[in-house]
Amino acid sequence: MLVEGKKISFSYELGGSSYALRDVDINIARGEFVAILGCNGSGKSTLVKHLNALLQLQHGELRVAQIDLRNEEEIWRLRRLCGMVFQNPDNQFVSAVVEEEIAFGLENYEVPRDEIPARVRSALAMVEMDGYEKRAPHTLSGGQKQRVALAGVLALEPEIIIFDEATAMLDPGGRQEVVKIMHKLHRAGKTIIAITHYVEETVGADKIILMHKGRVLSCGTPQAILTDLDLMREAEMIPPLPVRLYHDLKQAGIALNNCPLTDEELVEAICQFRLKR
Amino acid sequence: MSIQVEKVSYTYLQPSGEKVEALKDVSCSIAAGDFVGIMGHTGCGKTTLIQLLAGLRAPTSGRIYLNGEDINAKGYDKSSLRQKVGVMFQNPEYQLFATTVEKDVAFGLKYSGLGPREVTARVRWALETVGFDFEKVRNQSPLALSGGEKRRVALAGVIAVRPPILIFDEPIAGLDPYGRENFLNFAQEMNQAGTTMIMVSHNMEALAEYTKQLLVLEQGRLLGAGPTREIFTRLQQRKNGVFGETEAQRIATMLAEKDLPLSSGILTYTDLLAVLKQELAGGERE
Repeated sequence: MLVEGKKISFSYELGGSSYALRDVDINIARGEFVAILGCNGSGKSTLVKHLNALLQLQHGELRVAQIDLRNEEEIWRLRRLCGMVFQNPDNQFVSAVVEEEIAFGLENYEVPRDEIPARVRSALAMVEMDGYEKRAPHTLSGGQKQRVALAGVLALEPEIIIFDEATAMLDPGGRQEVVKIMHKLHRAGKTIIAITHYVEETVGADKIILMHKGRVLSCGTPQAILTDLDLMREAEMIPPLPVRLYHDLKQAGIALNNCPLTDEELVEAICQFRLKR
Repeated sequence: MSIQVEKVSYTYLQPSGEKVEALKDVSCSIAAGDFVGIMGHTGCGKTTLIQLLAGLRAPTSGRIYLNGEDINAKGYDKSSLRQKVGVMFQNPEYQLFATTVEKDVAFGLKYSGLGPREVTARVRWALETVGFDFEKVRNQSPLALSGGEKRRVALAGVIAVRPPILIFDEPIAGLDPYGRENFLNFAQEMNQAGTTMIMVSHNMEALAEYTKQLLVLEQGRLLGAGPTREIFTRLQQRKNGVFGETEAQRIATMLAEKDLPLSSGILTYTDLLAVLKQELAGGERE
């Protein structure tokens, strides 16, 4: 397992009695696309901030790529292995020019100077932002900003990329851009951890970790999690539109074959239903 | 209270000296009691427009009238504008600053002329309206609250003034599904009670289900204005991709391509469900 966590508990208060995480187990295999789904305050952000030691482990055990999170000397190496893109693109930029922004991390890690331009170029190509090297980040759209932030992470060649609600502030087009790149990186072999409360974005994941009130409520395939109405209600989540429609039609006596997750599957199921009739 | 926007343009200078036309010749009107959505890509001028409506910026050219009065005319009492137009900006949770929730919400009432007892009553009403237990929350530090709670405190600060016009810039971005629904229902109730609502949002479902009128901005120009349903239909005919299209609309289009044309005008989930029930009923009875 690339990520192995056992009984992780965390409190933001010193010696506090209220826990943001309570006895959380987490297992993620190399190359997996994992979505962490949950409402505001469910603990999803707190959990992933443990993976690159943005938060210090208080209780429990956690190993990421064989690195024990209790070993503080390894944190620098860990952060390079485990890159993170945050919610608000405007809060993550430090440079006035896109290429400098991406070079910033490389310089910090003392990558040889003559290697930097090539690394910057290939990172920008990966997020489909070639040609934007000389642009000022603030002139970009939300989706483009997030892709530049991601390129800055990719330049360090991480194994794991964490998206901490990286699409929450974007318009629909920007969200689509970022989700598309997530899947592209996944196909290229990266381990992807995406935190979101947009259920639509979890449909294509290998597995979903569903969190609520600091605990893992359930963990399974999108099909198993998203079509379970009781479970979703308990997590204070609203299932994807095709799932809701499937159940509402069923109540009206119209039983489609399978419960669809995507718009395409829904259309297919409706067409099949009509053929049978 | 009605708003009239007449041929408004707004140009600003970038530090580099480059001129940017954020709004170009925009004209529209918003009737008292309306619920208006503003839609457009990042950088289309939405935020500039609401800053102009709130009188926080003055147009480079053109005029803005509030109940017939030009709010940028000499002699217009701008401070009275703060009592008339309430604005909640994007990420208002970053704007909280007072030591207690009560003081933060009361801040906007400082120059309202209300006495201390009335101020407390107003703050209580505002906090209870957004779903807090006043006694529990009044002495807490706003900074110790969760993101969603902070946003509700900011909202309480805006409505405490009881402005007849409320403007929200991306009020539901970053909220979870229940948070989104709670906020939208709240906005709808305020609107039904007579408040004129103006809401900027990227969320097509929210705009489709809750607003009555829509303004669409594209690169600083007004692309269209009119009843929400009409605008969505027009946008779909333009084939703008995910922008300006709800999921229900998208599904209806996909079904039409598979030889199941549904009646036109499907915009929301409720529309789609009703039409499909009709269309698919009658076969396969158990």
